[in-house]
Amino acid sequence: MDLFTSAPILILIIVCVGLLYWLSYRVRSGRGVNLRPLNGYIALKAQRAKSVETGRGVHFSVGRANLSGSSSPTSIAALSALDYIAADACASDVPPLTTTGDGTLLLAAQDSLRAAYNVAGRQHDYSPRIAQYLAAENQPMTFAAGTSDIVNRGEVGSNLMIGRFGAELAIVTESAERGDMEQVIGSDDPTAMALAVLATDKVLLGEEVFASGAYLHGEPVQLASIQLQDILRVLAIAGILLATLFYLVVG
Amino acid sequence: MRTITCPHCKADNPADTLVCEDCGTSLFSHDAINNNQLEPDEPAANEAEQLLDWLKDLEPANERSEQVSAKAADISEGETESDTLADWLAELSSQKEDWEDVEDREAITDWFDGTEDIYDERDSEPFKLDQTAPLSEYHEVEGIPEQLASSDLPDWLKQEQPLEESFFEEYESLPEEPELWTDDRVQPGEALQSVGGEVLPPEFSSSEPEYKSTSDEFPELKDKVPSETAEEPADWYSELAFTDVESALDELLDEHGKPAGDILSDQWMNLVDEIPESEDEPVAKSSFLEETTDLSDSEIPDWLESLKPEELVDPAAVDQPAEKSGPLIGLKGVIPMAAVAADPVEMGSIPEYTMTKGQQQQVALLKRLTMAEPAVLPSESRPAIEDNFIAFRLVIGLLLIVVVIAGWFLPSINEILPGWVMPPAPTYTEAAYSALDMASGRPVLVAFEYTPAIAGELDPVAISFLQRLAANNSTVFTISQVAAGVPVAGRAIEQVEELDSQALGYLPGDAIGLRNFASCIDAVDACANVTGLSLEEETQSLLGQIGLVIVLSGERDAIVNWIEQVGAQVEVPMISGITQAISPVAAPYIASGQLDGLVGGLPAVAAIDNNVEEDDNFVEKAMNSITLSQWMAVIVLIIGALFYGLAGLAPAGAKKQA
Amino acid sequence: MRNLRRSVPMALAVGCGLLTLLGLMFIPELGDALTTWASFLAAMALLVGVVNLLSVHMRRLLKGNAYSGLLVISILAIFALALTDFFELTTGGVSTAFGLVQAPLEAAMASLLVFFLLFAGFRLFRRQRNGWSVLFIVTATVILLGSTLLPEALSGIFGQASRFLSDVFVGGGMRGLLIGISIGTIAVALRVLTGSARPYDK
Repeated sequence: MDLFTSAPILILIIVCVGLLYWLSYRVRSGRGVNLRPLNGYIALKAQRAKSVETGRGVHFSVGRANLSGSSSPTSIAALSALDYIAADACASDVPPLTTTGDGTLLLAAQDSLRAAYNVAGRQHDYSPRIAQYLAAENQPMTFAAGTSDIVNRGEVGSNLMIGRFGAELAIVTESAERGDMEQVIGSDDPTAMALAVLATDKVLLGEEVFASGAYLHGEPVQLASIQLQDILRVLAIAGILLATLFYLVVG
Repeated sequence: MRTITCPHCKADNPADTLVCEDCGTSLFSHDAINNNQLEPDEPAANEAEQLLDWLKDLEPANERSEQVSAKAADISEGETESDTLADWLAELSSQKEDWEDVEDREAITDWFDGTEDIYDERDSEPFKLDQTAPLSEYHEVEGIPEQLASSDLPDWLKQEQPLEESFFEEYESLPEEPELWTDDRVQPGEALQSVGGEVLPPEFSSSEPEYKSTSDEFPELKDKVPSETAEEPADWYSELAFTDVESALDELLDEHGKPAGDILSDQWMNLVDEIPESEDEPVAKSSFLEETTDLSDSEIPDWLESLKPEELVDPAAVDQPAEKSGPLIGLKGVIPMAAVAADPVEMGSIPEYTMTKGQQQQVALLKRLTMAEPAVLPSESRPAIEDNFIAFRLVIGLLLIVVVIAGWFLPSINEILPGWVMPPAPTYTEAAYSALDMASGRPVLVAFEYTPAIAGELDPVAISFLQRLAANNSTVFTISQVAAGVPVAGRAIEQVEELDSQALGYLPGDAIGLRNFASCIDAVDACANVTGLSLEEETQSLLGQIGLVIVLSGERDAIVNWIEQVGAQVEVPMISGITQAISPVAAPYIASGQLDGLVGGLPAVAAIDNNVEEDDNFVEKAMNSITLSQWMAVIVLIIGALFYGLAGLAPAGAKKQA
Repeated sequence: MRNLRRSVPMALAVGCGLLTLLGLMFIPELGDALTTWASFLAAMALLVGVVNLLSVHMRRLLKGNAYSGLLVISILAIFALALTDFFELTTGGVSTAFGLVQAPLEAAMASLLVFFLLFAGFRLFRRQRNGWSVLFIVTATVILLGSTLLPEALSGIFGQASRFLSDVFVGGGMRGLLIGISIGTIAVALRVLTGSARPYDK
């Protein structure tokens, strides 16, 4: 990559970082951020409370995107949602049964669960087997088979899947539907999104997955990140419109 | 005098004694009555007179009962019992010349007071209870109202008669009093040496309480203690010994007629008076202790002396002003506060309390649990799983299987329905095959980025590409970033004849691995190693001459990675064979020129490469099954929409009619 | 000490991220080295995953789960076959097992997708009866008919309609979603680069 190509990218990155810090400062100063309600996160919070009350854990799948790959932000957002679920669930000794489709995700999920147990003061209750590795990243059907088995066993009360999935999502959602479970599905893959809409209306589509930190934890930097996304989205829309007009007029 | 013999110790006791003086046995038990033959003493002539006059009117029980029955008869005639009783009381009152009002306490006490005269006549010796004195002697008092001292004694009191049998009959009816001595082996008077076979210690075996005088008990005080009769109990002790209540009552009467309380208080006061004065003399210097102890004056140490209040040392010198403020206001002689305590203490800054992240999370959790309002879930009608749920699944599944199998074995639909045609293939599909032809004779890199799961849809595309490459005499390099893609590639290669191919194997690292591999493609300097895979020189040379890159995948990520990491770095045409599901994902890359061609699934292959000459044409049979399945899917979707849609409208219609 | 324990991972993460970014732009060798290390770590993580899988199913096997026992035996058998292939005691053992077991099983799993998708579409109206469900059914019908055998007249109509839906609605919507996903990816990546998001430090 030559300097001519790299410089604009570098400038864009620096500007975005500056925007992020400035927006974080505004949030910390007291400027509120209005987040539109999302069914998926409302249902997620309800499922957490339900699992604590009923004593039946949830099944939480963080997907199968490698943390060192291009889809790692999706997995990071999924881990943020796992932190939220694990906080209360581990304190109540109903940890979420976590499944992953990648080795790096397995380690990160185990770390999240261990941290939740440490915060609750129940370090001795943590077991690394709470998080399970089912299949490699590029074995979606094997992943679906393992996840369906967990859902069908009846050990969990609801099915939460947030991360990178593919067409194999249909198999898992069907198993959960047969068990009459509540489902919350979030993915950034178009195929998975289409299948998720068929299974439930508590879905998180595309960029809504990346807002998990802001909706669930509400930290200033996460809220600022939402605002940064909105700014970039507006810029992208403006750029598309301008380019469309340009090519329409100039040709 | 009448006597009664104790049945146990055979001692003679006065007849009016209740218990034996020696052994304490009740003298009115059955045995005692039977064994005693009361020899009537010659009644004293004055004995009747010695009885209380008020006893004279007492009647025997049998006579009384007759009178009661007579009175009862009177009652039956209309008189009340109280009237009857009042009559005999009235008889008493008729002789009440000297009867004084009962309520006149002074009159009552007078005759009691008269008793003092009796005692005056007695010896000057202290009053001693004479237990042998007849009972009547105690009642020889003056001042008793005449009506009570009537000379008309009842017959049973007039003469010294032995107690009538009726008298004893009353006592016979009484329950036998338990004998004090339960062990017949032990004679009264003898020491009780054992109880229940267990020998008692000596101190428990004596029949009489062993009286020890003070001098006996404490011999060292023999000379100090006022003399007393060691063998005889003290007068006050003997005076307090009594056998009956009346005797006890009389005991309390002082010879001087003082009330009982006064008697006792005088006795105690006498004892107190005997206590030597100790005001001026220290206790330690009493004569008693003086001879027994040897206490010398102690020397008070100086430090103790210094603590002595000044008021005691020199009261005149102490004239401190009184405190004017503070909690000791008004007091004199207050010791001033020490300088150390008086100095003001500077408080340091209070360390700031910090909360750890874990504590913050716990606080947030507590807040959420206690204060958070429950999230209102959007209501979703979730009808219960119906019984026909399983039936529908079964029917649809069976139908699908039948249709697929039928399509495989049925003749081509084109032959059955000649006028029915497939939609034309998109232009980018033809462009893909054009790119294949343009790479004729040059090495081609084929990436098998799919698993056996979707091999059914992509294998025909792959085989179609490989067949075209074989026909073009192109050398094929196969590579895969999917572990299962390597054997998939091998199986596809085996199905194509006369194809020159070489397997590069598994390429790890996703996008990173592709980025590194891209440097080996169309490069001036060939790479000898690709992520651990050693390449021969010929292979390295051929890789540098790659004319086309073909990506076969059913995943969007694989397409994107190849396009962004390899396509962006090398100037080599790239086409893709994908499933129909991700055709919309890859279409933008066609429009942007990053992909030179795109084959979307089996229908596109069927449209382009119609090798229908062979009967066992896989593509034709597969298209048959796909066509029938798609028709069936359309029918199922429409039926489901109509079924559940109309079923939902029916209750609403019924409600409207209602 | 506690601050040091939290600062070191963050410093490493931020430092590696910045170095990789600069390396990709200006110093390719540095970027390649770091990315190669990342690939190696991912491969080691795969090994950790396999160990976890064995651990979970060994535990279930001890509790009497037969399927877990089958899985453990399968893992060990394939591993043994790979060793024998490596030492040339056998030829193509792993590929034979793959072709006879793995491939049919995965194909069967993929074929289930058809059933599940079709049945999900069938009962769509059971769950939600609204205009969007109607639009879904209509769109699915047009797409299906646009790629199958039809009378020539209908084939043209449905073909064009299918292409129109795919290129305009599906393609446009897909691009919008993907742009949004890309922006979200940028935001999360920036948070990780600046140390605001620390998935490694809980």
